[in-house]
Amino acid sequence: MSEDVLAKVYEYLTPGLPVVPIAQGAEAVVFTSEKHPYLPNSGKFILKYRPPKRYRHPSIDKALTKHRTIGEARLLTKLFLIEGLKVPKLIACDAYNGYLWLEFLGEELPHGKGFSNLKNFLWMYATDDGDPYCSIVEETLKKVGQQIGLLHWNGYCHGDLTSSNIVLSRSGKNETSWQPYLIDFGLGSTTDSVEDKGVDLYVLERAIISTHSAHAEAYNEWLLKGFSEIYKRYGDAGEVKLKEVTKRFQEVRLRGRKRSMIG
Amino acid sequence: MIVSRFPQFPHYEISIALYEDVTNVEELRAKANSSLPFALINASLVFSVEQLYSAVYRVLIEHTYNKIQTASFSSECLLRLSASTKVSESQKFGLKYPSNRIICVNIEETTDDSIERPDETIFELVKGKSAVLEDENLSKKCDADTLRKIYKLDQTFQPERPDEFSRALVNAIQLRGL
Amino acid sequence: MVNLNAVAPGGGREYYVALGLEGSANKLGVGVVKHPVVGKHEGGDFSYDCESQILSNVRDTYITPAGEGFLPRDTARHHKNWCVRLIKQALEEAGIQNAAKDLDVICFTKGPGMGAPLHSVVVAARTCSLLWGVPLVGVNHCVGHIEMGREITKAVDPVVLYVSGGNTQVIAYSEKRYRIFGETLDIAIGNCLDRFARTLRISNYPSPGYNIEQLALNCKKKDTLLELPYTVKGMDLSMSGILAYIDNLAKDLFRDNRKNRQLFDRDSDEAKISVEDLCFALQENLFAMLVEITERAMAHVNSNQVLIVGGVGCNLRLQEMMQQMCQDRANGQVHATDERFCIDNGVMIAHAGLLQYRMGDFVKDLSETVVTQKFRTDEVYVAWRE
Repeated sequence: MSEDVLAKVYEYLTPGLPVVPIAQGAEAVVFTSEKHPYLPNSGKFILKYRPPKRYRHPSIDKALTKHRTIGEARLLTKLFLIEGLKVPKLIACDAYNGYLWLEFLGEELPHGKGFSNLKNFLWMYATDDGDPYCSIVEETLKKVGQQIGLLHWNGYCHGDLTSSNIVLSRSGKNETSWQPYLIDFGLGSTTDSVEDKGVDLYVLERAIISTHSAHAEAYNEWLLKGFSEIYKRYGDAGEVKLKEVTKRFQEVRLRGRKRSMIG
Repeated sequence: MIVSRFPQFPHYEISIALYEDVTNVEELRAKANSSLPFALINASLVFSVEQLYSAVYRVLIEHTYNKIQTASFSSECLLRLSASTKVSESQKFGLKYPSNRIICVNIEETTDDSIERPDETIFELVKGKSAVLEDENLSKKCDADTLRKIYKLDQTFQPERPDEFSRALVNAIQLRGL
Repeated sequence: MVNLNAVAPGGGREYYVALGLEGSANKLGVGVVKHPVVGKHEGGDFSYDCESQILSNVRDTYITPAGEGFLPRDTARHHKNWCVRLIKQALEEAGIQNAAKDLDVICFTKGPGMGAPLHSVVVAARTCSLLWGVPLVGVNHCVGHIEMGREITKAVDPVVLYVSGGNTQVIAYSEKRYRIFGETLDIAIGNCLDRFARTLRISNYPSPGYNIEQLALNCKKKDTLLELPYTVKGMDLSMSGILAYIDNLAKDLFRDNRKNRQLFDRDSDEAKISVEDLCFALQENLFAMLVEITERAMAHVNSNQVLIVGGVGCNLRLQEMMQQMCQDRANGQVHATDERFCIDNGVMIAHAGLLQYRMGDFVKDLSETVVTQKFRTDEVYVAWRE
């Protein structure tokens, strides 16, 4: 993580609000904080920052940072209103500087298996003492499918649906039932496009195949089951739309995510 | 009265107090726009502590990195609580319609970053019973239906718990005007 | 294990020689390339270092008058008129006296590109092949750019930004394919710039893009930037909307449409924006979008190297922006070639074709030499890399 970026963040937050960097993407860096920006609560919170990019003209940069920060925040607020859909809570938005405060989801998996995203979760069950086909895994994957189904049915796409962008949370350390949350909507959008939805499904399928190839077939089947369940709640209209999406998903699979284009 | 500072804005002292059974509402309404340095907020439109503080946070962000759109912190607090971009609409959160439950908010820029003995007298003009500023007190007596109308939360949104309702309000407040 | 020496050179030589013919757009390029037989190529992926020698590189560009684009039929005619001349010149400069003996393979652009021009070049290729009894190899135009770029810059495994009049793609190599990570959803960037140049009626010599670059450099007001739509969508981008927008502004400017408050001052009625400002804004906007999708691909594959190929890659501002991004991103680096290789040329076709040939790929039947307008970069099986 660039020294400049860190320095800028520490200056913005002042020493009164210490944060710890945890991840860096192409566009944003993510920190955790133990202090809430405006409530006296302590806990764990996420700060997502879009730093300025020096390569682009400052006016493009400022406008884009603001637009992207607001866009992501707005998506989160709209998605929250969809019943059954689980996304992180928006705590605060400073669009002028590119900061988003979000709730912290997930936990450290036992035995050092890492953070509770879907990728590590499946990995945990794939190791020697776990049963990769147990009912917990099946149930969880179906729930993940349902989350995506809810997202798509309501006219949204995620845009970057990898297994690291699905976080599992549970109500207590001894609970066996996990609730998946979709996170990181930086590339998300509202969409009516069957193509976008097909690509979402394809990206996740590829992510699962590449990291859990031995069990990928069953896993992807469970995902689709959960996904279809949502569409099937809506009778004939739902069935029609479901067919459209799955058909396009097959097509995307065959050609890879990119359309054929004139050279 | 609760006095606090946001960790990111150590030079701003924020004092907030909840008063019930206020007897001099008319007097306060008359003085509100001109001489009172603090904001008077209709407590029945405040559902949670979080809703209130998220609006104050917004005031400080706008003040520091953009520009506040009203004349003072007091009027800006009302604007940031409001779901509309129209200043006139935000008056609803003030004492436009009389209410005997009032929340006072004072934001003061100080040269240092520590809280000394809080000034208990800043809200002494308000003649009412001091109540604890906490979610229980607020949500029970809050006019949730009016809030729903103001924030355009229709009946399809049925939160299972109070914190979900509060979350919807915070969402709207954080994005208002952006 | 990749063995690039699997097929031996002909004529008892210790080196390979290839003739390359390129004509997918308005540039007709002919080049001759020599690859020495080198021990290290027997095992391992050294295709970025063939120690190639460029024996000749000639080109003629079909340039239309200002304000006009080039049409397939006229372009094809130009290529037909020039190919014999250029092939002879290339062979002569390369010191090739007996083509039948001295050439291992004749490489031609199979696609993608404009149909008629591609076709006129392949006819020349087939004729030479039949005349001299030299095998043919069909090359993907994009792969030609990539392989030439790797060879010239010695970049081992960079993310490739391929930007030209007909293509805009972000590519990364993985498991025998050049995978497309991001691309344009509608028009190519070179096409966008060329069409705007037509709107501005600026000269097409030496190329419309070059002239836009010069105008942008001469912009006096670089601090304020005209706001244009910014249309990156995930890993892809779209440019037709921006073109339509800026075309309208330019037309209003020329028509003296005082009502347009972006262009004309409300009180003094003077033009606030010049042609240079428009070019500057267009470049800054389009290039920022390209750099962004390139950065996304780099994050995805964990790379900090970028290779820019294709005609638009000659643009120094684009190179500068890309360099800034790479530097800020874990001290990475940008690789670019100069106009001899950025712009379509025959050498890149010869070089890439020779790599294919050395892996045993060449035309067995003339029916395989049909050209095609659509030919995606990821359709090519990259046998010469691990």
